[in-house]
Amino acid sequence: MQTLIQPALLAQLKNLPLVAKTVAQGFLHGIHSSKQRGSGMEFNQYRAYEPGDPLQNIDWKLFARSDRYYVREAQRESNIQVWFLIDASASMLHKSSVANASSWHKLDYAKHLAATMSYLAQLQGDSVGLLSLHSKTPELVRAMAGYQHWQRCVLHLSQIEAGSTFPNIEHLQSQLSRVREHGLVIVLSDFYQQQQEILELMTQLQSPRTDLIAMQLGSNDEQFFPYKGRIHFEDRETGERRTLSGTAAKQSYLQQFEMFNNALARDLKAKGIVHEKLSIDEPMDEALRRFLTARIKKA
Amino acid sequence: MMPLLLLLVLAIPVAIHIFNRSEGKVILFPSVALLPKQSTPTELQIKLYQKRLLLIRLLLFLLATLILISPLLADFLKQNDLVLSDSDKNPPPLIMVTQDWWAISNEQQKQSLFTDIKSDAAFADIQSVFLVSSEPIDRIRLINVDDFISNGSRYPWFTISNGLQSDAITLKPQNTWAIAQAIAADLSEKAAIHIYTSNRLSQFYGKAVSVGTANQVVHWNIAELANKVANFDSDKAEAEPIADGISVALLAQDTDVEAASLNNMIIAAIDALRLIAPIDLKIIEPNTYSPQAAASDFDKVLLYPNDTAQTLTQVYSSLPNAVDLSGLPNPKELSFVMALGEALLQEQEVQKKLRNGTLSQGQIENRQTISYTLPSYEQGIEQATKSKHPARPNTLSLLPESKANNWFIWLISLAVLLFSIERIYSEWIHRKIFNKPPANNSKAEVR
Repeated sequence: MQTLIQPALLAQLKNLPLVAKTVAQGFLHGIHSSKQRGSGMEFNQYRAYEPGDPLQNIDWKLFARSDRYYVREAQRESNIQVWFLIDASASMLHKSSVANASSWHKLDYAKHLAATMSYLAQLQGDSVGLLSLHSKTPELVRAMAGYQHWQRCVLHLSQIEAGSTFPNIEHLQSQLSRVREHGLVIVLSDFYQQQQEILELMTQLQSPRTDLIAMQLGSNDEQFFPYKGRIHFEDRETGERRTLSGTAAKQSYLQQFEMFNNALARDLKAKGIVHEKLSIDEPMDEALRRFLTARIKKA
Repeated sequence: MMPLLLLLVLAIPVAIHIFNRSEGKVILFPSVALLPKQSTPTELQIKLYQKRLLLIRLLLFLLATLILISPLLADFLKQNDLVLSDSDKNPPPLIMVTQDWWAISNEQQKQSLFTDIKSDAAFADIQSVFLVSSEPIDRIRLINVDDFISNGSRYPWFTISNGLQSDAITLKPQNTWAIAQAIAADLSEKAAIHIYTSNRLSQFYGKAVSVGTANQVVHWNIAELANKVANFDSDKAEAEPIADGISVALLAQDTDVEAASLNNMIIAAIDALRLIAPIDLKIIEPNTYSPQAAASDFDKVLLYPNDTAQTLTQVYSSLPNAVDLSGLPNPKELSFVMALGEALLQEQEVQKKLRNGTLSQGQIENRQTISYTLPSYEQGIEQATKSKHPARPNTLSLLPESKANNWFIWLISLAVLLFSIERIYSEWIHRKIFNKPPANNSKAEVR
């Protein structure tokens, strides 16, 4: 599960806080510059002593009992929940045709993104929750704080497999009620939908307490349409096939693609949802840094 | 054949077209709904266009190849007799008729020749006939075949009535082999050669050359000399009798005693020579017989110039057939007879051989070399055949110059036309496929 986190990426992003811009209960939850430990804070967990830890943090009573050094960690309780909703429909398996075998498809990208961002959230003490959306039983990891919970989240992330289509909204109601807490909801999807189901989901997630972010994952293939010659285009979800000449279809497709994007952006903007476009063919750290710094500025 | 193998190159694009019928890649695409449905031509249409385009381009390539190899192709066709022009399928034969054949063949033989020309399949398409006369200056003439049949006997330079009345003509030697070969030299490879000639020795005077090429069939129609003496054989030539008579005129001298005895001696010598050959002697008076008449009436005019009749004998001695007796030994001596016989009969002997000697059919057809040549005659013949080279309706180059040029121009024009069509068609397809705006653009549903 550690493969979902890239050390180099984390090293770059560690000092970028995840900004939850939520106004709730009359106070601003915002930047947490660091984990706050110490007396007065709620006990969080014991951790094995590591050289460099302040001696005052060692729980001497525990040492007396167990003859081992433990550091007592406390954490300020946070009301912020950070939810990651990952679209696990088959279309998320799309991978750029120009990419090599080891490159990511959209779901991989979403997993890495979720893992990284949840780590950041966990670092600043926020609760992290996870909901994978596919036509099989939606899987939910309840929002909790702490490193161990984050590890559970990452384990769950690594186990997500792409299903066939996007789940029916009605089947999601029980899960969605948990998601609608104070905090940040990040939807990772390609936003290709059969009957506006993703937008409907977004609409249902909207509440004054949540800060909804739509992260649209795209690829160079979709953007530039590099196909040439006679090609059978097959839909991953519906299985629909269209046989076309790549060059001949290009212009029409690009127009349609632009219209689709414009319509999506318009719809999201109308609902007041933050719309972020990411390309799986670009380095994730760049995109994430851009996203986070933009949020800091807004805050 | 090699240039034609280049055309196999044409098979390459076709083979690519046939073996490259991949079904097309299957690409799993996340948003097929965004792809056009009917706004572009279907695959079938695209393929159809491309097939036509392929056909046009192949044709273009074929034409270019043809244009490039057309010189080679022409050579190749020529060498292998593959030219399909009408005249070359069944090339008309060559007919050559010599004056001597005409002279000694009877009416039935001539009619048979005419009938053959008119109806025999071997003579189909024949346009004209070569007539070979004995005149060295105007030896060969090309006569239209219809003209020949209807007027054959009316060409004054060619016609000799039957019976060899004019020895002068039949004696003129000619080399029928050389003439036939000169005429046949430009003939098409397959054309047959029909030669109508006599077997008279004078007709085959000079060096024998082979007539025609190995592929050409030579038909010799030889009219046998009716009163032939013997087959000519150079080894036995000496033994041949000297036959024909000779008419001799003796110019009478002044009637003095010495002259009379001289005349008598000459007459006696001629009497002696009559044992060898018939000699018709006539004594003529210078005053009563004109020199012109003497030149035409007699083969030889004997004269004995002396001072008294100087002016007159000078006129006579300038005649072409005059024999100056003063150059011979004294008539009183025996050797005079020998010398006189030689002067009168030697030339006759040669001409006699030429006129009456014959060659066997084998000698004629097998083109044996006869070592019996007189260079001056040969030169005359060569000159005649060269200067009077006949028109050549039977000579067939592959494509007459103008025809070949036409061919070439047509090919190039066609290639240019095809190239234009290819460009326009290609451009049109390009526009049709790529530049036509999608028809259902506005109605496209965005999900």
